[in-house]
Amino acid sequence: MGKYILRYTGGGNTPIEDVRQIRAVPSITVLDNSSRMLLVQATETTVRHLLREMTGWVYGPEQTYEIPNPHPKVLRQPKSASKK
Amino acid sequence: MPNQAPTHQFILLPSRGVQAGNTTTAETASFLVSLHVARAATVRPVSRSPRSKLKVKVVDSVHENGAKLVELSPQSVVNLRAEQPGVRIVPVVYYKPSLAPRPAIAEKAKKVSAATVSTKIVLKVVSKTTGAPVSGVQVVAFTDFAERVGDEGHSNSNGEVRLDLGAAAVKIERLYLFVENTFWSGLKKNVTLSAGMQFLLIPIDLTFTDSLRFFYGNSPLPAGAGVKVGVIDTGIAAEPDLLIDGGFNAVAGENPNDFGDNGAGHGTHVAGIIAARGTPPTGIRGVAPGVTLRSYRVFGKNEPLASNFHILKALDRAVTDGCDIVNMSISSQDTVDEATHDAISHARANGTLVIVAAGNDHRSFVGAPASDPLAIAVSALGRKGTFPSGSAQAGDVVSPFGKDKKNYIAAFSNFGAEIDITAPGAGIISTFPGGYAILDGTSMACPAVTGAAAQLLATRTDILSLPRTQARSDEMAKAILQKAVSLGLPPTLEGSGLLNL
Repeated sequence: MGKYILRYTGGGNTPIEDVRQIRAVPSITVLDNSSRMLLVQATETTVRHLLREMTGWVYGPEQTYEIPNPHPKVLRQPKSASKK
Repeated sequence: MPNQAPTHQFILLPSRGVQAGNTTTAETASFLVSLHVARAATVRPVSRSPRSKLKVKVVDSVHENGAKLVELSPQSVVNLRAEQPGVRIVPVVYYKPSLAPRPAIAEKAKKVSAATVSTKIVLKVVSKTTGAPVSGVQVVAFTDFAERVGDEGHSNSNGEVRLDLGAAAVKIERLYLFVENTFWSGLKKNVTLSAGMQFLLIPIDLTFTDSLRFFYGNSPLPAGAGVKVGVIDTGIAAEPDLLIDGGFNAVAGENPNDFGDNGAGHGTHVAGIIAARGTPPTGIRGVAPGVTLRSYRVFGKNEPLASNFHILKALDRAVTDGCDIVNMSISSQDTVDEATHDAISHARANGTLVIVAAGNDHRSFVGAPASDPLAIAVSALGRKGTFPSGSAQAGDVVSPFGKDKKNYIAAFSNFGAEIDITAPGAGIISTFPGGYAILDGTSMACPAVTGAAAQLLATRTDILSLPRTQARSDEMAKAILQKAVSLGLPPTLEGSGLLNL
């Protein structure tokens, strides 16, 4: 199970019937929505098979972005340092 | 020599789909058709424009007005992007048969040694001007910088920090003192650390000429007027130098009207680079202080991560709100997913330009979403002499250098064929919650381009008055990229160069 963004690529907002169809799938949990997207929890297989039967939809995994920081980071202490 | 530069294969596509359709401009469709006609030729200029610098070798064509397989040099990629911003340029990807991998030794077993008694070293950090201790400084000491071996800690209220480096006196290749605000971060190279050593931090002087002010000066207050800019970030704090028109908080479960800074300060710094309206010595000035500035928060309160769902939601909202340019100073080393690509395509199809930081992974590949073919990807430019001696910016000076030997692309900046343009991103003074800060990154270079682009587009009412379609965003991209001037650095580092106002 993972989180996926389902995005409607057609004109205008997500069609109501399409949203009903997605919400009706028992193995899909809708976590959030916007005018053109749904954030769902499901298996990728479920999402892929569902969207194959629908027109104008694409999907992608939910990803997270960190606040950018270009500072070099310590990866490990010197071997002679005491263990924390 | 340009015609001997190595070429690589790319797929040229319309802005959406694999064949020109309703959202494709006539110019883009015509260009793809011209390549279909030219496919029998080898290297030759394709465009009929006398100023065209395009040299494209067409290897294959799928449809007359559809996908093309071509060979391009890095410089040709840059030129093509500037001349035909509505064309997606996608690198060819090669797949191998999925044979099961053979087991291989990843790392030799480490010998287990008896624990040794080590001595922690206590250092002190103080202000150079007042001698007062400075707390909250992240002190990072590298005994081996290439392998990132060392230790780090934060200074306490006495300015003291304890580091465990395995001995009472240790040779350090690099000692960084990273400060969140108020001071320049410091760097000492090749120093032997011992207990009781004291390090001095230089306070920020708002009259100092950093690299942003070196290249763009202090813009007049009306610069950028008439252009609406959306900043998708940690939110923007209500600081005296900033005028925020409005915005939206895209984070689920939070107040949608709370688009102020989430506590990190990153978005406030970015906003100041674009649109700060102060005047030194009591304030600072951005590149386009006259823009209409909107804030789109995508990081939760005091949260270090943002979901791409919230980012795309914010982007859709910025387009609906009529933003001409959206600034995204965020990056990950993932590839661009279909949903993100569609959101950027949607923005471009509705006349909005999306300018994105290339990422700070120390010469790694251009991150997402900057790597999307329809995003404007920005690398970070640095210049010697625009930061005080002993400041951390010296650690990111690296070759190659430009025609002016003081110019370079900062060591942390990602690079690749996707880079469109460069701008100052090393040692940038800007607004921060509660005051001012100096930050580095393609995060800072991105809003420098956004501000410069806004300043330029404000003078191009012919472009701003176009209907909000792909043609509009294509003309905006073309105007910006064709006004950029090469600094003499490789195109995979600087793209078209620095936007020359």
